[in-house]
Amino acid sequence: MNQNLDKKIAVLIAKANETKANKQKSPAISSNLQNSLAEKIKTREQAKSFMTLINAL
Amino acid sequence: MKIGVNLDFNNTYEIEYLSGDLQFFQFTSFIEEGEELLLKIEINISNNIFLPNVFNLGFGPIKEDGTIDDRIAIRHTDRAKVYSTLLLGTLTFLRTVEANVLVGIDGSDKIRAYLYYRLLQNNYDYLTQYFRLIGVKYYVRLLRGNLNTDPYSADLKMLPHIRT
Repeated sequence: MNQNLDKKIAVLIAKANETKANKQKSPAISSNLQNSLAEKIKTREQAKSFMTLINAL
Repeated sequence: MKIGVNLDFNNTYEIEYLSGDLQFFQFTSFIEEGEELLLKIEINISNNIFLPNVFNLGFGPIKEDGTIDDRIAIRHTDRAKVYSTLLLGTLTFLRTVEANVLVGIDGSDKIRAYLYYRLLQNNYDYLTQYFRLIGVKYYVRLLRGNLNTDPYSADLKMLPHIRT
């Protein structure tokens, strides 16, 4: 088995675990974000741009 | 289109985002027009009753509604690097799930299906070091009606339940 490949896979699994850990923290962040967005997004066009940005992330 | 692509897991793009379950990831490719292109990859359960534990690999740029555009024609500057990255993500997913899980690769049209078939065939020796490759003409086999002897075949009575 390719050792470099094993390392790459280990890094990716660690990255996925990081995503999982961040997701568990997200409710509080999400609530803050929602309040902040509710203040800033006033139009349908702004909401559309925001969704495009979120989808691209 | 040229199909002489040599896959190499030492030559991959950086995977920028990975979901916790490794079923969704993204990376940026470069296209011949000189621009960057964000590619989204999803590994979803196929929901075909005759192919239990088979996940479908889908990829492409992201449409405005957030779904994958798997029909657009893209001229990547380095297709080997794109496909190697896709399969690296797939291999990582497979390393984290049970041994009976399979990932299916099928084209959104016949040309793409043939391209992927040739890609796998041309890189068979390389890929078999890391994957167990199975070729299945599954809808053809479904019609043969040997349910009890062949896991990829089925009785004709069951055909109305096939999801296509």
